[in-house]
Amino acid sequence: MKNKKIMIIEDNKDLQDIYKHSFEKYGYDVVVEGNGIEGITGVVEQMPDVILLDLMMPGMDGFSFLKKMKEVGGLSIPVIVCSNISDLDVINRALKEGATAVLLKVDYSGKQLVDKVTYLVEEFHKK
Amino acid sequence: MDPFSSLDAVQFDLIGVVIATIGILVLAAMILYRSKKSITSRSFFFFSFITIFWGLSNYFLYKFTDPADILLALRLHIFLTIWHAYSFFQLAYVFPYESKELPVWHRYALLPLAFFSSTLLLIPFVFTQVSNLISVDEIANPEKSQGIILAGVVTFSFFIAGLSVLFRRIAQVKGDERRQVILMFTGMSLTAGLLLLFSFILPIGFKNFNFVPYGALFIFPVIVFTAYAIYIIELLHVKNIFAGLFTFFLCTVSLIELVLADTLEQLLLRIVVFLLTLVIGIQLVKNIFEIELANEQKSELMSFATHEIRTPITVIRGYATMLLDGDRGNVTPEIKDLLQKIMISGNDVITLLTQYLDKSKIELGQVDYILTRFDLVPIVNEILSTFQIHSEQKGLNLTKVLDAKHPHIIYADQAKIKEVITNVIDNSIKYTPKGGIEVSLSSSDGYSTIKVADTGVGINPETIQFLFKEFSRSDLKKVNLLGTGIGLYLAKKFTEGHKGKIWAESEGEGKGAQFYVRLPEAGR
Repeated sequence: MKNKKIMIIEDNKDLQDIYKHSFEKYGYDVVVEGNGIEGITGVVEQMPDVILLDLMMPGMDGFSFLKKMKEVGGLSIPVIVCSNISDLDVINRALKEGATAVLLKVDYSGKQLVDKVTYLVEEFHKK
Repeated sequence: MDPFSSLDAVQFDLIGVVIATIGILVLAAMILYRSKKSITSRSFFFFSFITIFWGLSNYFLYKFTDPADILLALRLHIFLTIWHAYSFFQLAYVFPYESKELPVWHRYALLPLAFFSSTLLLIPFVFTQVSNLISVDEIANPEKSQGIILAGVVTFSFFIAGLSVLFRRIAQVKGDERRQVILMFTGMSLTAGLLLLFSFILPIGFKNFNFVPYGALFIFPVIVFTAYAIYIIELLHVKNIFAGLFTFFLCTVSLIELVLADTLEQLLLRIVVFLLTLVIGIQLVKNIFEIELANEQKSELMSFATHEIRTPITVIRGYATMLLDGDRGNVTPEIKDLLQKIMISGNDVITLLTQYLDKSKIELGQVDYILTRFDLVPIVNEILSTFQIHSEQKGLNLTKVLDAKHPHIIYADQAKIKEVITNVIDNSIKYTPKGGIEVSLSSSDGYSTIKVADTGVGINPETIQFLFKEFSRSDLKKVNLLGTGIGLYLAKKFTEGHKGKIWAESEGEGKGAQFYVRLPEAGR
């Protein structure tokens, strides 16, 4: 069976490495992009099955990425926001802009994150 | 007897105008203090400021009896009418945004138009003279020239332009912004309706001029609706409304007293009382706003600091997990032990940060619940997996009694419920030097109960009453407890926020403890 492809849009180099390693370990193909602009170009070229999106990034941030995705009709791909901001306003805004779910980065590491993302993708396709 | 033709009526309409003036002044000050940099707040203040003078000139216009005074008031009134319509357009254009540039044609066409037409109307271009008075010495009948057409066209154009900007925006924006624009549009429509009826249809069609001096009162709806709409973005707190209303009430009462003064002595005394009330009242509102602003800044700083600290901790935990999982080669038991300690310390920092952030939000009254339907079973499993390392490190046996086939669906804020359970388990691990902790889930009478039973130090009856309270340092000494004591306090706050109950039972010191979190299950 073909591996699922995840696109990780994250500006922190360490987190890029950690996430790439975790998802590859549990059978995902991983594409890493450093900000929203790269992410938008990457989505068209790579057609990932799921996107893991940071919010605070230089260039195009996560909110602008979600807005752009909505404009180009790309929200058939689940976008899971993974950020360290826990403010209700931020969470609501991300969900309003079309995020599938919002996770707090610090709550998940290694297999926990992979399991959570896999579960959320399955739930997304059930709807 | 017609009440409006008596002496009482004079005071009656003056009081009406004064109430409107103070109300508008208090609202405008509140909005401006709240957000000085916002273009909407500034435009609102400008609009309110013009409104006050417009209302006063409208009133005095019909109270003067000397034709020369009337002529002056009339010209001033027309001058203000144009600026009033202009300020309405400006407010409508920027509303409800924090920052929005006015278009270039505004600077080179609209502003000069308002300036020149209003200035032109101050000279004998519109009203040449006031020759006679109609309606029992009250309403002036000035001789008009072509200037009146200019005044009408300019005012009407600004007004229609403002309304159409609002109308277009209703179609363009969504959510809260749409609600705000609709509110302002409703307020303006009410004001326009009142002005049309009482200042146009009744005086011209039915020769009834009694309500004309109340002009400022008719502007009140647009001011109140707009102020409320601006407040929606600013997350209005009840205490601000009360402070504003209280000031408004005090000022109004002292002003009525002033108007009803019988002697000069009384009048002077009441003027002093009124001015003091006004100044102190506005200062009170200002202070409350400043305190609230400082609190919000504190809260923002706290959120920012939390975010900044969480990121490196996520990286530390990520790398430690990678090493612990053996992804970079085999790990000796000694290294594994050290890595686990790194993970535990990382978790402790996160728990403390989250707790302090929550505590600060509780203090500021900013706790909100995002309610969703979810199953408690996977949540408890997820939490237990994060405590696995910690319990292993302490040599504790962390077990669970969960029936995965039987879901426990609740309608709650998932993040907060996770915090409640995490804090309770964390507390048990902290106070259990040996033995184990068992976490179980049960269901009865429409409630799901999470039970955390430990074989720890136990709790004596004296201490049990302090367990879920926010500790002071002296309390901590009294009951000889370690840690910050915030965890269980927050657990109680959040459980009760979900209409649930949290409690602890223990047979005494050395006999372990059982913690219970009872939450209402979601209706089917």
